[in-house]
Amino acid sequence: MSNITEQYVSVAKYCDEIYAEDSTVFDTYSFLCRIVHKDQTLVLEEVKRKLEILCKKIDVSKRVYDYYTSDGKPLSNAKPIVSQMEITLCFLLLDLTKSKKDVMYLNSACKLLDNSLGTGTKYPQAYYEIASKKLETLCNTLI
Amino acid sequence: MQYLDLTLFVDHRPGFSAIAYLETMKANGVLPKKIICLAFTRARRVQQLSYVFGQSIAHRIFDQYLKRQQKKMFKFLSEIEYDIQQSVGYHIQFLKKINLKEYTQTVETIYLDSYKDKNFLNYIQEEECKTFLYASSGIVPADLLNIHGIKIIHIHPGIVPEVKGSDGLFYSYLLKGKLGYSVFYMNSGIDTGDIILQKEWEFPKLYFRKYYNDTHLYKAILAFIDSYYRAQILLILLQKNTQNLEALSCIKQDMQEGKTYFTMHPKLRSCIVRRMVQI
Repeated sequence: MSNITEQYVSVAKYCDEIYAEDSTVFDTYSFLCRIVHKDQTLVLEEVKRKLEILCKKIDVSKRVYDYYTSDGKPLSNAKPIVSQMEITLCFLLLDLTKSKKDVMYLNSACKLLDNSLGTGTKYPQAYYEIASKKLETLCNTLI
Repeated sequence: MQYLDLTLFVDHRPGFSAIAYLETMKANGVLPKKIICLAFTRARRVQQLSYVFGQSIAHRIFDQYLKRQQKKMFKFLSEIEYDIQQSVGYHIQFLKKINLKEYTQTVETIYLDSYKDKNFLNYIQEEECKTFLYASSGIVPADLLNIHGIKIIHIHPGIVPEVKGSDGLFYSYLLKGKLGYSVFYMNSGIDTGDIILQKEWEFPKLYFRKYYNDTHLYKAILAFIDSYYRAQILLILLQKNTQNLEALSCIKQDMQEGKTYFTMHPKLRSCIVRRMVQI
């Protein structure tokens, strides 16, 4: 797990350098990195609302893009987030499921994991196995 | 038999909830004045097939595909139906072929591309009866909902605003251990319309004589149990109000409250279905 956290940090640093804050554009990388770094400026309600939007994206379009417009559509040149970030988001959703006891996050985590495995990603298999085990445990305890 | 100022929207092949509504209404001496049968001509798969085979062959292929799918589904549903019927204690025959003319004064079939089809919208605009009960499928766009004077009643398997969105029956069971149903006038949001009536039921104890896989049980619960309880809440509504269905007293939903859930992942679905049934 520590390995994953280190990778979070490396991605976060990389994102901070290249993605400037823009209030009209939702930057998925930057948002996720701020959560991972426990950014104190984040407002809980705002995080909740934005995570719900990301869950909706996973559920409806089966994909999360790097940039969205203020009305929730991917920017014209947006790309699906890299597998490293996908697994980061998956772990985040699983942690939230555990702490908030909210099945909405668990449902999206299940779908995200399916998508990631289905796209033949090159991200280390071990992380998917950890995520799958966590997911299995949560399914058994919550349901 | 009393004919109500109510028009039912049903699919070309009426779904289980439509059958439940009609059978329950008929058994209780009330029926809608009209049924509008919606025949969508451009299902996405037909469109895709049309690019390769042309439209007429595409329609034929699609029809055969639907028949095959339906046959497969009916096979396992007919096996499960008896067990559910015995467990819940209802008498609706969901799998029999129904003749819509036996349930109303007028049946009208409309061919449309989508709910946004101009001819369809014009037709609805000129309809005498302005109150509709939605027993079809798909998202109803604002174009239809905004037609002046019309009201569309929808029955949703969940107590709104707590449980909005897909798979409401399963989320209700998971969150509250009960079945919850809401009747509301549709608006352009997802299950955000003004609430007319809500009711909760204990989930019935289900006993099965043999093992069925989770997917089959999921489909059977949706087909029979969900449809049965939708019809039950409709019956409660109609027993209280047979007049003025377009102006029933209702309360506004708090848009900030509750959550919209999405289709449940098969893994979660399996866990819940296993909890619901006792084999």
